[in-house]
Amino acid sequence: MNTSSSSQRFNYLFEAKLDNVKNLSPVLKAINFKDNATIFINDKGLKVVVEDSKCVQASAFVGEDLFQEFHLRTDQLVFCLDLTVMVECLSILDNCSSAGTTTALNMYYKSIGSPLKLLIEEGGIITDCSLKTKDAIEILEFDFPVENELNKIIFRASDLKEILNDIDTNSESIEILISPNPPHFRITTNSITNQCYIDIPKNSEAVEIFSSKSPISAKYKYTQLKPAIKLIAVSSKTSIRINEEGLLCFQFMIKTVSKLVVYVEYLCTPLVDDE
Amino acid sequence: MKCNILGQNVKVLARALHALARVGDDLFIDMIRDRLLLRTVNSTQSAFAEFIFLNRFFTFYNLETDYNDEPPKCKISMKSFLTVFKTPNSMDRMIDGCELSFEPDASQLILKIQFSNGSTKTHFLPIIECESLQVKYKKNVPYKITASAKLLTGAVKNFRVNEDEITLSVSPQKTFLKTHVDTNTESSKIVHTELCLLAGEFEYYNVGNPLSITFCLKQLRAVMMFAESTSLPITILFDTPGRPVLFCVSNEAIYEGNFVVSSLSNSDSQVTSSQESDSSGRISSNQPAVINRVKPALTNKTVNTLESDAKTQLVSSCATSLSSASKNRRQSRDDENMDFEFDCSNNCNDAMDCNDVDNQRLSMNESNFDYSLMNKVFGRGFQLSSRPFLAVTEKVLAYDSDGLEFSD
Repeated sequence: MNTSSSSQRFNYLFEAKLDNVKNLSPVLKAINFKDNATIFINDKGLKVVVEDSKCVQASAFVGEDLFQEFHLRTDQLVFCLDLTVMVECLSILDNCSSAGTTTALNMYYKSIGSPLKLLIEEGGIITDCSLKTKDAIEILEFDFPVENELNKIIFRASDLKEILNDIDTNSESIEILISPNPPHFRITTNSITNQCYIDIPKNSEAVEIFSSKSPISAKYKYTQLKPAIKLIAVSSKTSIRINEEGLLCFQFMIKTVSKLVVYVEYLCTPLVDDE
Repeated sequence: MKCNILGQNVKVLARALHALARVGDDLFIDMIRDRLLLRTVNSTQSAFAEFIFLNRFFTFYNLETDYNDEPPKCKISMKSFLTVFKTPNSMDRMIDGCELSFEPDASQLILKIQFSNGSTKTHFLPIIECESLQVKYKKNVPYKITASAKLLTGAVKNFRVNEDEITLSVSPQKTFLKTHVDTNTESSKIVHTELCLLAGEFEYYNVGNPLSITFCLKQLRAVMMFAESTSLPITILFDTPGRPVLFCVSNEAIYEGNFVVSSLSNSDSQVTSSQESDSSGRISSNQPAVINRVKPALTNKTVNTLESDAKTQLVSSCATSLSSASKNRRQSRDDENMDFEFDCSNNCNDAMDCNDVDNQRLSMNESNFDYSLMNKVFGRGFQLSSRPFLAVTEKVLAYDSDGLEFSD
């Protein structure tokens, strides 16, 4: 057994084992707002990047510590695949599992251009999936330096989720204001039937850290923020930053079922006012 | 005007709004001395719903007006209110309270929701008009039954979701709930549901002579939804067929909800023909003329028995003839449903219209007595009668001629 697996091993550029697929699938599901995803693999772990119309970028960082086995026989791997199909494959045994059992996952990537193989096993049933990969295309590089941040708020995600739960879906744009003075943090939605301000003061229980040097406000398209609102729902902590140009950066800390942490970053460009 | 509502009660208010939203598209808000009234009427004006919240419901209630002043009132879109209270279930967990305020001449209603974690949500809802809606109905009617929401929900659950109307047959010992069958539908082709409830199962049961009354299920479902969540009993008040049915949900001296629904004027199988002969005697077969007569009567706020009766009957007959016409299109073209055809006259695409109706009817999955559809077909007729309403600030609908009192 050992000999056969070790001899096999060296044939693959990348190989990983995960005891419970539920550690990975919810995170990928949450960023699956577009089909195409670019996957980066290095010795630190896995990064899955999804983009939409050159305005929105979501990246999930899955550390190698999440996997029980993680072997990479090259410096870095980059390829594209259809994330929707991958998420479907990962959740293929989701609803038929009896309570208490977990689904294990083995991932193999043989060489550049070959498909990503997923072996999903539960209670002796093995599902073999082969996902076609494509050459990676260029992805956006947003510059968001940590050193001179203007503002940063960390929210308890459960509170933020409740507050944003019934946000007006008819509103075309959402304005976000962060300011050192009251109202500190304000989300404005505007539709024909309803205009709404959501104010969260810095001393609110929902806020864990608040820092703001000067007021900044920017408008974003609701449809582009929608995936971020979904991510808030699965995360346990959410940080929000806006830079001088209005570029919005969300960071989500997501606790997986095995109490490990996965980070997701969500960047969104502002709407440019015509006036 | 300003009032504050505490967390638990916000949930009640949210549920009341959801029930009202199932009836009409506009919300009329009135503040009269010690109470807040939320009212709505459906597009064909065959159903009306109101909730009355007494000042005890609020933690703070101030009209900020003198008694001589006009009490504050406004009309806003139901949709805008619903976006505020989208999820009534989780509302009380996070919400500390809610503040409702508006200035006499403001163009917006301000709703401020205070969350327990210190954040706030401020909604500005545009006011469409400053008019109010008034419907007079009487509560002292010969038939009165009270049942728990659970009993009624359990009973109504057995009906198909797309069931439009049901017939309630009462006798001193038992009550039957059954599917209403149209005159022109072949009764063998549809599913019949019939349920029997014994008088003992009701909390209150006052029934004289046996009586059958047919009404639309949609509003009853709205009331049940509210009553179930607040675990309050529903009282059904009714009179002879053709008179409105009243569903009441009341939390003694804090708030109450009243839903007035018109009933079919004659529930036996001869409904259309008997109605026609009945009405032709008094009003002749020229129905648009009837509508025209309703118009001056309503503007002058003097509604006499004949005309208000005619209106209820009209609504009822529309309901029957529409469903029969759509289900049995070919027949309807040459036999007794001339009243239906007449309303669409001057319209060269008669056949087309019917076709449309048919298609829409088929695509309907929900249990709605499709008033919008009815409105489409009868659009012209009803528009005629509703036009004068726009000019006056107070609407008085002729639901029950006996119940009308004319106060100046």
